[in-house]
Amino acid sequence: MIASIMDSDQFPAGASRTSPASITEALRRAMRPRDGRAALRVAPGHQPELQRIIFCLLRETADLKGGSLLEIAPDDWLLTEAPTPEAERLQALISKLLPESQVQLLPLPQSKAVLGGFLGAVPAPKFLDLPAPAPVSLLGLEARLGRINLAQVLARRSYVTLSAQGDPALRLQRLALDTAALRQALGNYAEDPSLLRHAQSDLQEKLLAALGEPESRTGLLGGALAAPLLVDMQAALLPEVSENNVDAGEAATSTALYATLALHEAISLENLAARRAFLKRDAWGIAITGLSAAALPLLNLQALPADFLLLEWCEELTERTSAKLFARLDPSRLILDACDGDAAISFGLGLGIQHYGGPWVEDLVAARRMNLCPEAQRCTRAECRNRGLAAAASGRMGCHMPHLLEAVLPKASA
Amino acid sequence: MKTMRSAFEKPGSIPEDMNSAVALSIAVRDAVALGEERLVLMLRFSALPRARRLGNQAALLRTSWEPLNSTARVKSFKLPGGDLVALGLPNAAAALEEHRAALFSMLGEEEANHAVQMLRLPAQAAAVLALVHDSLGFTTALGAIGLKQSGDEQPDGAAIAAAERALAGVDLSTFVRRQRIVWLEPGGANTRLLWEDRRVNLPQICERLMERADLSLPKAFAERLPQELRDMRASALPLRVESIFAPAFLRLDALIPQSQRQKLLIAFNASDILAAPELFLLARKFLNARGYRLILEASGPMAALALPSLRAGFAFLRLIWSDDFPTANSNADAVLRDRIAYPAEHVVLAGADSPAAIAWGWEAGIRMFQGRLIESQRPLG
Repeated sequence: MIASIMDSDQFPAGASRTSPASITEALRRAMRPRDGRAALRVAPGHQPELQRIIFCLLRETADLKGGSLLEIAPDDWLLTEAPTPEAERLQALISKLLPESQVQLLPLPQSKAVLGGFLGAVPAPKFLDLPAPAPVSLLGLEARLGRINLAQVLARRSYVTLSAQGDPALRLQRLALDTAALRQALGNYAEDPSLLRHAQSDLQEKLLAALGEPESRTGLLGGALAAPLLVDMQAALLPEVSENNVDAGEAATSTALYATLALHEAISLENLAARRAFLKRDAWGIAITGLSAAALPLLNLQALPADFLLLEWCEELTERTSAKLFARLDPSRLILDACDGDAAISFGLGLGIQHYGGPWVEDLVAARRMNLCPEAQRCTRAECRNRGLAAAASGRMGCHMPHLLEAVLPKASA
Repeated sequence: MKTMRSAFEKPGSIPEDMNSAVALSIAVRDAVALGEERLVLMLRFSALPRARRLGNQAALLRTSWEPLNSTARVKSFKLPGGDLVALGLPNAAAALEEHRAALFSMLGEEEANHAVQMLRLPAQAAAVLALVHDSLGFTTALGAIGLKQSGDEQPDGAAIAAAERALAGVDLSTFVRRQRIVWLEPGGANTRLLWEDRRVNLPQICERLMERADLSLPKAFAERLPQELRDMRASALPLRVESIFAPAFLRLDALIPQSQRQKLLIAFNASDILAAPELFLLARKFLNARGYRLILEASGPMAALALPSLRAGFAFLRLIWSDDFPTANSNADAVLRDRIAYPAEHVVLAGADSPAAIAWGWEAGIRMFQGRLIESQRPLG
């Protein structure tokens, strides 16, 4: 994609000017003894989107104010010269997009020694090498989807509460598509985001159908449901409000299934709040995933009509969120997902969060299960963990105590 | 209609009896696997009239159950929802039978027939497991899954590919719909044109080319825009977040003089933003630094409430009117108006195709409108 920008004749160091001689020429020009100029050295980072906009900003200044844009190394760009006010303005702008340490203003001609250092070291400048992804053909997608074994691309995850002593108790289970497994099963179709979404939606529909059949349901869960189940689904699959339950019958006494919607899907369902009340009668609840550190500051959490909000743990959560953000939200509605260590748990406990999930929790669950298992010495922790996560019978093979595996986290007395 | 507020505030609840239900289903399957005989006595509160399920009566029924637990020959389970199940060895038959009779005497004959059952394992295992699933709400929940038979509506891969080929050769300008955004006050004073909204009429393209298949916004539209810049007044351009980083937009950006950039309003859909919040934050920094102004497009009140536009750095909120809007004077309506109490300079009500929409907008303090009703008025400015 960037190649098409590069092809345009607006790029100062265009194809015709990439010879070492022209680089030398550009640098020599920059080093000439004239005041009021500055060079700008930028490390654009590796995110393609960021690289592209930084590139455009640098190029625009080079076009309008003279100077050349050079690539010293793949993550090291140089705008050879610009009038000082322009260079400073550009530095300020880029500093909003990148950490300040990645943008360096080099006043000229004072910094000519620095530029001189590039004369010898500069390899032939390479343009941003970001070829447009080859379009993925759709042909054969349906056949490939048809061949995927649903159980192989699902994971049976656990969400627990922790006692004061740190003992976990199973509170929720979740059947979620395992994205890594799905990508592998889809091969190069997965490289097109829209095809990946199509595949996810197709498999989520199959998951619901499979849950409706006692045999396949038992297969996926490895037995009975050990806790209420979060079922990942697209908004379109959310059960409709059935006519006959509007005023007939009593509400279900407990919630068995939680329709688990991605944040962006959930907010596109305008009637979600009203539907949630009706779904409750049918023993359905709503959970919303995708609450990341980036999304949180944009959101008004109170307005999300859900029984559970799944917060994705990452380090930035501690920086980007404040207690204020959660102040008006009942912490019992929050689940801290993707917990990978103690930092996550202390963050969650600080907010009063009770439910936890993620790799750290799966480890903990496997460890506790092995404590109770009379056959534990025959397996490793990793084996027990992976068998607990498996939704396919083949993935549970080798377990000597399938009943313990079924119950995920059996009670010590059981 | 339930108020939105109360619907928001109910936290999820998880029954503590879940473990008990799992233990029971494991015990049942064990008995079946080993061919062992067991007696199962069940009391289903859900099958009893309301009065029996609550208060003293329920407490009495539960207390009467307790003596059963005093023997090692019987194991009791309390299921989520309150149903009670006793699993007994064959030599506990007398005790279980006695309690069954006691329950019949406490309940009416007809009630007891519904709610009290004595079953035998392994023969009646299926019935016991069904009850467990019932009590978990699983049966109800699964019954509510209405899988749509959407096979014929969803285009398959080949159809989409064909549609993409067709779309590549189409002059999109035919499908660009321009609509005016006007400032409209009750009484008609100060009416003025604010800007022009340009968007590809996607439903129309879909109808023409691919029979209901849905496509995301064609990026090609951005490529057409430079030609229109010569006569540019303030315009709004709906884009997907990723499109900001596409060469087409970056080229367009380079073509627009700095002084003109504030005339171009970039509109993002709330759902697109939350699908890629990280990318949106980057796009926002870039667009703000370049001098563009941003519009948040909310497909309805829910999206507008969930993503507060002022806090998220948008110059405008474009709220799309629909008949789903809360009816006037309902509680939800009050909550909504309270929450979108933004300055009049901030909110545009789009899809204002009926006087009712404009009236609702005026009442909510909205003064900027877009829609067929606006288009049908005499030219402005």
